[in-house]
Amino acid sequence: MKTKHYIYIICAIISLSATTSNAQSLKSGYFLEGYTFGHKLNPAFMLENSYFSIPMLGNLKVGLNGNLGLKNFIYPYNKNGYSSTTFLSPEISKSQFLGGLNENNKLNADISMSILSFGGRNEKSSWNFELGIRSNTSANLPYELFDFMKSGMHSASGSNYQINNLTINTNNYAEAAFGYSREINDNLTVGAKIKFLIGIANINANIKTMNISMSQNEWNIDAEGVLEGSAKGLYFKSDSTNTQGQRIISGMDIDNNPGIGGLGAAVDFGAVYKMDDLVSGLTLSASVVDLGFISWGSTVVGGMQNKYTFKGFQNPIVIDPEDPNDVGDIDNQVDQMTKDLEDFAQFYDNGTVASRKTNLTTTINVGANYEMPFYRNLSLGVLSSTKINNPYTSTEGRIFANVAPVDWFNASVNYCCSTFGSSFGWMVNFHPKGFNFFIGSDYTVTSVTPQFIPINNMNADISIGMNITFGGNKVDSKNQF
Amino acid sequence: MTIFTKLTLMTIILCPMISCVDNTYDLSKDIDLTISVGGDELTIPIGGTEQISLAKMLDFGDDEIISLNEETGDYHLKIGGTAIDPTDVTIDPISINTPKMGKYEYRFPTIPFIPGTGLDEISLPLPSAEIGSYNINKKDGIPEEIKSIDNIILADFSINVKIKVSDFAGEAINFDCKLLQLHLDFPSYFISNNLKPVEGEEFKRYSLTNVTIGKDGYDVKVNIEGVDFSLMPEGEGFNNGAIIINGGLKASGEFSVNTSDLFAQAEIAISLEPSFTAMNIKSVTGKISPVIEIPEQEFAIDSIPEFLDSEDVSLDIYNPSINLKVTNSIPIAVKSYGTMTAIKSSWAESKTIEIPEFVIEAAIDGKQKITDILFSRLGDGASIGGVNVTVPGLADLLKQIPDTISMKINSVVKDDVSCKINLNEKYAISMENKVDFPLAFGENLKIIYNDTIDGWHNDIEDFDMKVINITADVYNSTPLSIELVAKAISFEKDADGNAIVIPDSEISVEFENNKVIDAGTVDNPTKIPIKIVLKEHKAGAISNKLDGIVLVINGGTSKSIVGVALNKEQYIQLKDLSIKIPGGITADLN
Repeated sequence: MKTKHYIYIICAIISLSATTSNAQSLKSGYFLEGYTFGHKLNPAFMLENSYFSIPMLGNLKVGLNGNLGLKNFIYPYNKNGYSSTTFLSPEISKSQFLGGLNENNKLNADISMSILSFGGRNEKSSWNFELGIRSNTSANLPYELFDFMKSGMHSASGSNYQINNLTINTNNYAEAAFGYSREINDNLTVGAKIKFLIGIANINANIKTMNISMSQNEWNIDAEGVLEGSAKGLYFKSDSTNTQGQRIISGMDIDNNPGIGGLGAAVDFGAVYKMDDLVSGLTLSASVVDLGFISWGSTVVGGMQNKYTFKGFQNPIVIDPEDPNDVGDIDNQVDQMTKDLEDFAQFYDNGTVASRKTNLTTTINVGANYEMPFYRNLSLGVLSSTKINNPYTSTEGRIFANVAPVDWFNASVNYCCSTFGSSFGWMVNFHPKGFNFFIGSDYTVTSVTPQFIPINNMNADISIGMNITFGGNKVDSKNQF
Repeated sequence: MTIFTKLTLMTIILCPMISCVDNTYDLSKDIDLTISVGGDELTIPIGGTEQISLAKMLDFGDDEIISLNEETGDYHLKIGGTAIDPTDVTIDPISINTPKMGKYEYRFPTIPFIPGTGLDEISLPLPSAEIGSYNINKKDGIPEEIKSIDNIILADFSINVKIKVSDFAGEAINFDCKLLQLHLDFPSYFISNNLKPVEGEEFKRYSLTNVTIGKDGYDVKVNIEGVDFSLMPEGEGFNNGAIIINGGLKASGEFSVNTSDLFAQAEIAISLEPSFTAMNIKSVTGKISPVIEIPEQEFAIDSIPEFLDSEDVSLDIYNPSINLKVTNSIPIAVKSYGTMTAIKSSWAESKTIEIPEFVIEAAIDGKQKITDILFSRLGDGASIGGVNVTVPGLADLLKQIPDTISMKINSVVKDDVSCKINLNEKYAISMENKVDFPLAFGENLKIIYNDTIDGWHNDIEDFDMKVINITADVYNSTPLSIELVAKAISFEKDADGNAIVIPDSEISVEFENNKVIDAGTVDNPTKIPIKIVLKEHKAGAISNKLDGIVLVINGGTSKSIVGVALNKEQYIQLKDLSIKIPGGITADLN
């Protein structure tokens, strides 16, 4: 398989494991001066220096977000020689398991890498250009799904489950962005960024609704879903057809002519306003990031609208085991039931559509930063960040403590409460003249297994970057915050 | 940089970077993979069965005694169609040596010689006289079977009379004479078409006219077909086992001679010498009682279906029957009676019942007669024209299906009616027996049948279940009411290869609401909801041992539905069968 194919396959694998939201840049650096890639959080943030990034290492961020984690599924046990047990153990009560879940249980995985980035700064303005790739993969696992797994048939009169938006989505694209920010006056700085997007692959599998009802005499499952795949040369593999002649999708592959799957555009815009006239040391900022779309070309579309009813077996009792004509053998029926269930979960090839548009996950950031009057190098900040992308929309509020004890170093610790739970963030940013190195995490893992798997909500990320700065004296950080 | 600043810096840098390793989540250690799925009220719809025919449910084999009557659809208990060796009856022949009857001679008066008178012929009357007599007394060689005789038919029997004309010296004349007429008078008991009754007389007459008698004489032959003993005087005929026939012949008539022939022989005499041919009796009409010894008949009953073969079974067959098809060529009705004896190896004693008297009809007009006899409990069910014989004890005989049934028929000829029987002819009574009656039961039926539903162990050994509730609606269109008892069985076998019953202390099996499924009809099957509860009383017993259940089916009848035959249209059907596992299924996937 060609190298290009591996890229797509990696994307697909990621899509099966989680989904990405849109962690472009480290939010822990939102209020830190000298953070070269602050313009990714708010295009009004001006550069401290001109810079160019070390290719591939300028701004690399890998992250996971989720409002569920290992602790939701693995429980300490210490019985019978076992150290832990699963959520399906009879020792784990329904309330214990289900009480830790949310209505929509989300997992996001994100990879963002700046391939090349550079920018310039003058007295009143700065600009930047970045070429990067982003891969976002998300999954939504509704509460009802786990309720079904754990509770099963909990009522003698029957149990019903409606599972909505069981979804896996992956969005992978490259972007070329040009940003510009300018001080309008002493208090106000505005900025904008325009992005040209090159779609690589977008796959969305969504079971919109799945109804499960179980009664004494009948089990029913009906489901409706859609599968969309956009990538150059992407096609469905199929080995068989259903009774309506539709091709049953057995997989996906890329033909020998991969290329650009779609094109799109997005804009960021933001503003920073110093409130010194009213409250000395207070700065407000806001931004809208990734307001845009990708228009995908030829898209393969699959669908499912299946209903499966199980009323039991025909002649489940073998009356005469020695009679070869005795139809009361359920082995074949169990095999058929298994096949029916496999068929039930199948998507069918509904052909292709000429184009398809997907929106980017737009992020709205609103922040405020206040320099401590008793120590101007210490500031406290608050940031609200909302990501809009149903059903993966998430919000978080984050409070910051930022310190810049010296000109060439600053750092932040922060704590957030979000859709994915609470977590600590931190960042250290070294920005002496001619060099910038930063490392940080918005979602610090506080508790891990000995195998370093996060125990609590699956929130973990790391961001690192190394850039070369140049262009004379640094601009006073107070111009920004 | 102040101390405060430095501490703040260190705190900011170091604290967030240190994550706690929680060893309670050490995934390198074994994770207990015991899972519980399905929910507290897990109920699995199992579906329903097709209509389970009785043949399938009770396992009627093709080679067994239960067979399907294609015409009615009823299941019959069927044995036999066995022909037994015919019973031959032959009455020995009777041959009577006939006695000589003597000779009668009559001398005509001297005929005057009158030459030239022109009188050619003169008539000479023959006065009536007895020309011979006989006394037959035959006692030896009379078959004992003959009790009385009304008449006999003789084979080629005749009475002959030799007529000769001679002179007084006894020399035969050398010219022809003419017998103008001759009357031979026979006792009236002789049966012959040649003999004519004479009005007002008690004899029968044979007459000849215008017969020329040459010098060799003339033979008269009168064929006699038979003898009617009823016309004999008392003391004669068949008396005390002897055939006694006495009597004589008389003759009268008129004779003529040509006088021209009498030139020198004017004195002539005529002699009549009667005689019998051998008297061989061809047939006898009368009361005859041959000895008929019918061999004992035996039905071997093989391949008894299990549901009929248990020691605890008590069949109350509604109208069991045994068919006896008798072909009788004897023209005598035969009174019969007998016994039936059932033998079973497991019985201490055999059972015997009486067969009341019945009649095997006589052959008529030489054509054999078929009598279709049906011995039955209710005296009902014989074919059209057949004979029903009520044998009340037959149901008792078949309370348990025996290994063999033997039937002894004793026959006594019905000797109060005369019949005609040919002597030395082989008559036969042949029989063909058959047991073929619909399986219908009375109200005291008790069938016990075990059916095993097994093969579960491999499917459930990994699952921990405390209670299994099996529910279903049972539809019964059979005339059998069924009481169910169940026991759990282990996958382990005993030395004989039979499944071991798990004691109730480990797994109990109970029918919680109904355990009796009432009888129904095809048009109106009964619907009974049942619930079988398998409960584990010893931890792990279900998963470690249970392989299935053995159902003890106690069949009976409902009082309202008796006498209805088991039919191919009848069925048992389970609908809405489901298995409920309270608490769900716990599976050890470790």
